[in-house]
Amino acid sequence: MNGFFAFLSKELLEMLRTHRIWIVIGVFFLLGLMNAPLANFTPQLLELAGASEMMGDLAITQPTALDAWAQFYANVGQMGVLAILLICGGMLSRERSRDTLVLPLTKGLGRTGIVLVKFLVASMLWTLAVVVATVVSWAYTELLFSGETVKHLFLSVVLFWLFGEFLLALIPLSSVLFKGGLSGLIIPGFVLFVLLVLTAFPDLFFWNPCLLIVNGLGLMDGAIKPSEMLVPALVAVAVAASALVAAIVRFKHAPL
Amino acid sequence: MGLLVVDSVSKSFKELEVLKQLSFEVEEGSVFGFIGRNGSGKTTTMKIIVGLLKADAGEVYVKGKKVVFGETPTNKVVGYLPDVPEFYGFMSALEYLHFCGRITGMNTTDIERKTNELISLVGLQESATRRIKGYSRGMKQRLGIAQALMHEPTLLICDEPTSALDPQGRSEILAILDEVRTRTTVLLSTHILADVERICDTVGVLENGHLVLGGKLEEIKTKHRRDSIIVSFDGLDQAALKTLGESLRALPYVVQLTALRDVLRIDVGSVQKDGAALFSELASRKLTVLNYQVLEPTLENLYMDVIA
Repeated sequence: MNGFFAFLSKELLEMLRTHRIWIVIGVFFLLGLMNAPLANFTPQLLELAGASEMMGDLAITQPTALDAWAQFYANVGQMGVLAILLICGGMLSRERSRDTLVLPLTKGLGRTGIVLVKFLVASMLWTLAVVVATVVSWAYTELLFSGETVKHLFLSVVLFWLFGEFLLALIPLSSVLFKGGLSGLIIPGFVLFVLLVLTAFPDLFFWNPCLLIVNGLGLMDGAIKPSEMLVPALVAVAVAASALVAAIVRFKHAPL
Repeated sequence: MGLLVVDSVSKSFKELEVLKQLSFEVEEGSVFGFIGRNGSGKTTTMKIIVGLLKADAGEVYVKGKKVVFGETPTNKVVGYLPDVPEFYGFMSALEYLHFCGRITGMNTTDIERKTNELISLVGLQESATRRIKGYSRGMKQRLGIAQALMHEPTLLICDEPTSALDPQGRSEILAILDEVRTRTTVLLSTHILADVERICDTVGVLENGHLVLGGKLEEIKTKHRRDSIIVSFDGLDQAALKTLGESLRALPYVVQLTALRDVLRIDVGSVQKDGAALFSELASRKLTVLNYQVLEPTLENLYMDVIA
């Protein structure tokens, strides 16, 4: 356990010294900040752009808190997920390609510890990111749409967080299977792409972890029941755990 | 059994067979110079010893314990300095040594004591709190030695520690290793033979995947002594030297004689046995001997002989 905590301390110090933590806070603060105003002013923007004439009989409805959360999924759900993947994607693969793990490994640092610490630190960053974006988005939504509530807000955000964790858990496996500084992004990127395509068939692929994010808004407006999210959530947890175990097993047999 | 035993180790990378049943031992207390040209397999051997690479066949033992690839408990008694040590640039040397100490399970007091001792041993006192990313190659190499010694290893393995350094940096590293030899056994790979002659007492020459020469440096030199004597004379021009050479060549104990500009190189059966006779012969001819030197074999000559 000595190695585990020493390596964890090193990761936390790195997060501070390389300003990664401030980048995450800054990016997700902005992503959280833009949702409510975007929802609020979209009708006026459309009006200004002359959209009402083009839309004919279709009236532009008054924005609600739900529209702000729709913006949350559009912004944090897309740009935010990409941002966290880019920030954390090279955490292990960069160390492998730069040989910085050679000395700690020959000092007796366990390879299991390395994989777990890398995932743990990525998880911490993602948790921080989701908390920052959610709190800012919630506060601004309260300000602009005071009194309006959405259903299952906490659960929706937790499931959204779980999807991020699922993708982050694929990074170590990708980093040990492929070579190169950004090899950690290959599997998460591929999986994200395939699962996004499969969301077009929600009945057929009801287990798709991507539904955790795609159906978030449905949960908030009551169109989707929380129980429908159980299978995608379990699949996400199972795949994430398996990917971590596979990464540990593979890393133990990887020459350096 | 030696402190380090490499027993019939083979390793290939795809089609390329780098090590072919390589075997050698490093005795406790020695400074072993592991010599070989670039690409001869020195780094591969060292990586196998510290469990970073898996051997295709054969075993390695450190202090009698088998080295296991991947998670390597034998590394508790081994310090390793790779050819190009890579550190975390955002840390200072002090922080890095603390990090290493914590990984090896040392307590805070020991980490503090050892860090201060090593920083001063490798001469990094003035830059100990500076970030490593601003360090020169030589400073990184010195820090590399410090981290390798952090847990007081029984065996220190250095992979070409001086190859990429300027003469001053090289000299500093050799001085540090010379000081370290009193407390730990050293295995040092290099292709710089002058470094080996300066600090190693035992050598092994790796060529074509196996050891072509190995043993105590002095014993090897004695064994491979060519029994050559170089003699120069006062008042002999080149023509006279040539004539003298021809007459000496007829002596029964002279194996070979070469006239080189103003000296004669005389190969005899045995310096001990025939040296005195040759000297008397020269004296009887009333020649003024300016220089009489038994030619010592250099490591360079030996190396070129064995890899030829």
